[in-house]
Amino acid sequence: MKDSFNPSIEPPKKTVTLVSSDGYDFEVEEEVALESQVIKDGFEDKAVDDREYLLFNVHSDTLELIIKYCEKHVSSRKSISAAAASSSSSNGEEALKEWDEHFISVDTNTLYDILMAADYLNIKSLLDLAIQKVADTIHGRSPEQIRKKFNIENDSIIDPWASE
Amino acid sequence: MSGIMSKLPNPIFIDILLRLPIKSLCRCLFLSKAWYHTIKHPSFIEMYHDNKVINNNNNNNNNNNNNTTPCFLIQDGRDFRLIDNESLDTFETPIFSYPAKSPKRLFDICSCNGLVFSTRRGFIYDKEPYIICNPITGDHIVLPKPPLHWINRIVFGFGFDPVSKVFKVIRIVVKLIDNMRNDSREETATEVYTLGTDEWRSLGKVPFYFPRYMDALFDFFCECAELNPEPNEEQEEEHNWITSAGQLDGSMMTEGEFEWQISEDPAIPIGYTDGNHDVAHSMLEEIYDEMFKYNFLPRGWDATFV
Repeated sequence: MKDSFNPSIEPPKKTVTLVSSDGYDFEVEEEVALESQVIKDGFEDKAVDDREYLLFNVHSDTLELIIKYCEKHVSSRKSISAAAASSSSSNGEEALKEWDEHFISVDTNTLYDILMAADYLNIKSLLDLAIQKVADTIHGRSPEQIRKKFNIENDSIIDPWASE
Repeated sequence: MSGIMSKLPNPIFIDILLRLPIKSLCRCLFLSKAWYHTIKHPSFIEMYHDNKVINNNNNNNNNNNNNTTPCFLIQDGRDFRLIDNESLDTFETPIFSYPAKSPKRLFDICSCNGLVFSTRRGFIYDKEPYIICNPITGDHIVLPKPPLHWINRIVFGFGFDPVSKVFKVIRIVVKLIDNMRNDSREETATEVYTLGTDEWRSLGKVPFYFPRYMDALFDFFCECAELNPEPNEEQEEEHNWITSAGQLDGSMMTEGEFEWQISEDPAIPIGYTDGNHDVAHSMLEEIYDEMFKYNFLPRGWDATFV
């Protein structure tokens, strides 16, 4: 397979259209969309000109974030494997981790939206990242702080540590 | 909007909880009813436990203990208190109190996978309750009374069987038999208690001379649980510790010439034939294997409860 011909005559990349719940179209590269296991599963069976996905559960704001995440991961995976092939040392993985951390540092509602979308689209690494973020948020906080952070109503469970 | 967390799909919610260290989890217990019932659910507890045990094993293999938190158990009379790196807040309240009136005595303590087994250190053990407690949550249970009562000496082991996923307590006891003709001899028996059942199971008599260093082994466990005697402990108690440590050094050094001293009375041991020490030895090896299996011996011991 030849990968290295002139970019100007490279055929246009195959794209997939993702439609958010509020009706916005997002055109993304195929391999970016394939980060989602749900899209990947039925992908081959779909006709090439019919590659449009209606994501009823994902708002355009969230979808934008998700696409940003997938694009970053696709591109950095490429650069990491390229660096590994040429056996040059690279801190690509660490940089990606840092990027992830920055990416997931969002407010609670956005985090919730990302969680739901990652679950719906079945993007494992993103789901994992978001879940870990919630766990980290809970860890090291007092019950009152957690309640406040996640808007949890105290429905009259007797708290032995309430005086803390 | 009341709690976006309650709107999360259950698998995600559980995944979040599984990643929390036990202490955070305990704090989350009383956030709301939904949290309480999820965390207290038996299948969640099992999942959580499996998860932690697997992680711990992986960590040990990789020599990577980043996820574990060392905790220290401190005895204050009948009360036990917990210190960990995170907080001294719970130090004020004892995590549990020993249910018998025996203040100012040292306790025997073994810890394994986050649970702690303890009983009072003393010569006549049978009058004292055996406790298994979870120092983080403060839950504790009192074990049923063991069947054997004629104890002269005793050692305990507390461990976790990863295959059947149960905690077990092993105790090996020695009885001094005085058969009225002034030639007294010792007989050794083993009993196993499985956490969750309500009785001790006897493994029968074993041809097992009680080495002195078994006592010292116990001090190992105490040390590894950082069970510090209070400064105001009676002098003799502290002295006990020092002697035990001394014995330990001695026994470790003479390990090579250590004698099993199997009883010469052919009537006693199973598997013992006249003059044939091999059979008895293989039996001993079996017992030692058993002890290793339940993390009985201090192999890679540490004070990590979580």
